[in-house]
This record gives sequence, C-alpha cells and structure tokens, in this order.
Amino acid sequence: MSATDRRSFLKTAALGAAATWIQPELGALYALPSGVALRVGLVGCGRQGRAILAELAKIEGVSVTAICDTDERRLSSSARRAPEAKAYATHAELLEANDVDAVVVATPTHLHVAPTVDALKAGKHVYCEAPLAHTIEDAQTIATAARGATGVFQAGFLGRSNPVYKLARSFVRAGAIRDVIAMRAQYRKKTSWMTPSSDPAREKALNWKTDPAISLGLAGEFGAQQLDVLQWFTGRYPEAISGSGAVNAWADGREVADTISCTLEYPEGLRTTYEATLGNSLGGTHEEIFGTMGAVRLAWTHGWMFKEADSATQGWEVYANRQSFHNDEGITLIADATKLAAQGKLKEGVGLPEPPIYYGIWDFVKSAAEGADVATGATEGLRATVVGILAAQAVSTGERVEIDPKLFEG
Amino acid sequence: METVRLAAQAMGTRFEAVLVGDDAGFLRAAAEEALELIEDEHARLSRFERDSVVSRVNRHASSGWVGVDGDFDSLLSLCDELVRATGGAFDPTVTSEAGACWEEVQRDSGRVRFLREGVCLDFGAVAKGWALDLARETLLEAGVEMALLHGGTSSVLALGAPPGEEGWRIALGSEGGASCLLKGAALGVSAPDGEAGGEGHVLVPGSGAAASEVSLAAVVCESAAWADAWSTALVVLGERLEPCNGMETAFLLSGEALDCSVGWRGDYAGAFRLP
Repeated sequence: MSATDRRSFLKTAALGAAATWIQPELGALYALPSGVALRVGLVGCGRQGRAILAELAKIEGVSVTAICDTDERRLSSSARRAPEAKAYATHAELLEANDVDAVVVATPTHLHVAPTVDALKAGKHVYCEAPLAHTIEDAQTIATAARGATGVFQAGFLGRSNPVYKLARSFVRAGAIRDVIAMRAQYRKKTSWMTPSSDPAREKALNWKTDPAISLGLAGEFGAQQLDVLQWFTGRYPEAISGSGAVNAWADGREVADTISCTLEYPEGLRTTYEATLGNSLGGTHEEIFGTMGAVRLAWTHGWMFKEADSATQGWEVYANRQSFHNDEGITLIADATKLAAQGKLKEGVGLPEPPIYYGIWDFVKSAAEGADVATGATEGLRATVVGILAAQAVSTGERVEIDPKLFEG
Repeated sequence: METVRLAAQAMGTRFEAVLVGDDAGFLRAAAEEALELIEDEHARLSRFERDSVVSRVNRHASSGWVGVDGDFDSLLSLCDELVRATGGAFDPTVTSEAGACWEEVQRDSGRVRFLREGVCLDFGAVAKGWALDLARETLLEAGVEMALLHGGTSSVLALGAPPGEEGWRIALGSEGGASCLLKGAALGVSAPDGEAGGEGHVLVPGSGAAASEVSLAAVVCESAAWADAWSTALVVLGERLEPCNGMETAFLLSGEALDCSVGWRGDYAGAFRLP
C-alpha cells in the first residue's frame, strides 16, 4: 500500500467508524420506486407552501394535483410553481374532488385544525406544519384524529428529519460531549413580520402573526420548532417555563412581543434558554447543546462540534473540516462523510445538499407511499406544540408556567 | 409622503429598495416582502449555494432527468427565448466546459437533463433581473405605486416615478456623465470588467474568453430579466450588434462616447441622456 493509499484508507476507515449509520443516499436523487405514485394536495399557499411545492417537484413519482388557498393572489402565485395542479378556494372542495392521496397543510397555525382533521377523516395521508395548532385543545384534536386515522400523519418538526441533526444527535447520545449541562437556542432576524396589502380585510388575514388573539408569537412560531430539537436530543420535556417579552423594535401599535426570552426547566436541573427577536439578525437561527467535554451548534443547513481542550481526540477529527468562530474552532458535522471521504470530496460536503424542508417532505412521502416509519408522529408533534404554546403563554403573561406532565402523555 | 429604504444581501451583491407612499409601515412591509422574495430566488438560483435548485440540477442532470418546479421551468423557458433572441450571445451554459451550449440542455414537462457531462447552468446574467421582475409583481399586488429597486447597481427596476419627477434618474458610469431616466421600466447595465474594474466577468459563449469590445452596455425595457440578459449580450456582441424586435431601447457606451442604437428605439426612446 502506497503512502497515499494508506492515508486515504485511514481517512475512510476513521470516518466510517464515526458515521456508519448514515443513510448512503444523501445527496443522491430521491425517487419513489418505479410504479409507485403519490398525488399531493397543498392547503395554504403562502411562502412556506410555495417552498414545499418546490421540494415536492424534486421527487420522482410525486405529483401535485391540487392547491388550495382562500387568497386568490397566493393561489395564482402557487399555480405557477405547480402548473398541473387544480386550484381550489377551500379545503372542503379539494377533498371533495378526491384526486389526492396526501394533503400538506401549510395554512396559518390557527387554521391547521380543520383541513388536517377533515383530510385525515377522508382517509388521506397528512403532513401538518409546525406548530400543530395555537391552542392545546386544537393540537389534541389533531393528535386524536391522527391516531385514529388510516392514513399517515407527520408533524412538520424538521429537526428529526435533518441529516446533520441526526448525525449530531448520534454523537451527543454516544457521549461525545459527555454530560449535557445546559442548552440554548435563538432566532434572530430583522423584519417587521408584517405583510402588506391595500385591502384592510386581506391585510388583517395575512397579518395573523401579530394578532394577539391567534398568534403564538416568536416562542410558538419558531421556539416550538427549535425547542423540539433539544427535547429530541435529550429525551426530556420541560417541567416549567418562565418568559418575558416586549415590543422593542417595532413600536407600531402591536401587542405581540418582537423580542423575547424564555427559560425552560427540565428534569435534573437542566435548563434551556431561548431568545428571539425581530430587531437584529446576528447569529441567525441556531440551537446549542453544552456538555462537559464539548458543545454542538446546529444551524439547520450546517452543524459544528466544539471540543474542550481536555477531551479525547477521535480518529475522524484529524481529517474533518473546521471553521473558526473568533477564538473557537468548530468541527464541521458532515452527514455523508463516509461516502464523500471515499470519493475525496469531503470539503464539498459542508452544508446540506438540499434545504432542510426537503428532508421532512421526503420522510412524509416515503411514509405515505411506501409505509416507512413516520419521522415525527402525532405524539411528538403534540408534545412539541404544547411546549411552544406554554412558552408563548409564559412570554405573554410574564408568569412562570408549571406544566402538567399529563400533557406529554400519549 | 414617506420614503422607506431597505437593503438585503443576495446574489453576491447588495439589493436596495426605495419605496415612496403615504404609510411608512405599509411601505416597509412591502419592501421586506420584495427583498425576501429576492433572497428566496438567490437560495434557489445561486450555483454557489450547495442546496439551491440550480446546484441540484448541475449535480445530477448529466446523469438523467431531474424534476424541477414550474417557476424554475419558466426561467428555463425564458432563457430559451433569450438565447434565441440574442443569437446565443446570452447563454446560461457559458460557464460549462468548453464547447458546451444551451442546445445540450433538454427539457420535458417539469424535468431537465443535460445531453453530456460538463454542461452546467449559471443564471448570473439573468437572475437579478428575474428576481426583480418577481419583486415588481409583489409590489404591484400589494398596491405600491412608486419604488426603485436595484441589485448591485447593474439591474434596476422602477415603479412609477418619484413625486413631481418625470422618472427615477440613474447615473451611468461616472457622476455627471450619461444618465438614464427610468419610469415604470427596467434598466440592465453590463460591463466587461464589472464595476470593480477587475478582470473580465462577462464571458463569450463558445470560447469562454472575457468579452471586451465595449466598455459598457445598458438596456431599458419592460422586463428586468430581458434588460439583464440583453445588456450582457451587448457586451459580448459589441459593435456587431444587429437591431432586434422586442427590444425597446438599447444603448452602448464606448469610452466617453454615447451611442444610442437608433434601430432599437421604441417605447422608452430618450431614456438615456447626456449631461
């Protein structure tokens, strides 16, 4: 064996040891088996709905046959992205036409329950965006309908489908950062969170996120999604949540806080701090898990591990990509490292080859069309939604919310 | 009257939006929506983003059909028109291996494939304009009547005109030099050396050599995508330019000289002005 061969062999072997579980097809074109087809209808044609249409178009065997929105402009905009789909003004009409096998619900959060439950009752497979609902009652209604349904139900909590997150979780659960001592997550983006319209009725409908009667605010709309990642990593759910919020960036008469912070208390003294703002974008969106021998930072398309100086060096680290963050150096987590290392393309593997939403949609399609295990089912979806709703309650009231553990049963 | 200015980083440059109207909150929301849409198009169309649609197509289309959504398919249709209209002077396969051309990109109802290895797509000469056209649609739907958007000063889009003005006045090249008066139209500007004055960044399809026959080409027409692609094509074609149907006005600047192509004048005649 030449020196080069030996180095290449060692690199491949070391990475293989670290990441043998990884799905080999990452980066390849996903397709349903020949002869298997899935007809999908989209309910809710806003920005998220349009993003989902783009991902559905990538999967061979999937056809978008119906789209639905009460807003004509959004409907026509989505029709361009899915030109073969029939357009409907209501989900009832879409279901009545009965030319879909599966339904993706991407309406505003407070409008998830009706299309989700009706589609499940009609025997359709359903993907419901996260959080499931804006009230615990609605979320429970969805979970109950999903458990009794013949079709597949997937909640849109995307961390559980993300290849980088799966890799990071395997490291954390294998003890790579030793004992988890604290967690932290943030959402930061400079935006007014408003949608313009010259029609007052339409403007009110489009701006549901700043309507205190129906909005979960930042804690629910983003926190539920991010906190679920930490709950999935540790297997723990919070016992109590404290929070506060204020309108610091956009003093336009709104009541829903644009800047918030929460502390979530988990069993055995573990704490998570969550902060979110619409006034500044530094650091964007990420979650962090701190252990006594290292930390993991996850930013949806990328992930890094930061090691303490006294932690043992693993063989695979020698060849890993690294990125500097001021005085810290992060080891880049690459989800298909084994395959890329074998091809000498490890550097090309930094960052996911598809947007994070793609992996959630792919998981759903695979479950609906082929019967694969559901990535995030009704129980996980309900639990994550409950955390988001109660975090939103803590922020809006400023009071510590103690959580009845029964809410996480099921 | 209120004026709102916002900016975003996308497509390797800075996009700016200036909106004028009665309600600052409304204008800000409209500008945010337009810039978010541009950021979304960056995420879909940049070949430098690993998870973009174009990167996906470039990775896989030499091996077989790759499914794409209707919007991406529409962009490919637009490119098809532009390649034909410019006689191949605009070609989104220009960064492929030598010898590759648009003819080797095959399409079939929501799918695309390349006929051989080495072909790749690069929408650098049209993506900014394409995104601006989408942004205009969003702004008009929201009810915005007066706005100026630009990406890196090379792709500009105007809605209406500022209060009391004939149009939005855009300087071309050095201040005090030639200018363009833009009202309800798009301006595309291209130069062989880019605004930084570095090495040529416009490539001649076929040879891959840097184009250098003119120092600056500018086009005004309704669509920002067309203006973008045509200004690139004009830099490539230089003085070999032939008048073409469908283009309202074109303009070439060689050194300090202003040369409006009379054959191309139409709805936007007189948009370009000397000091």
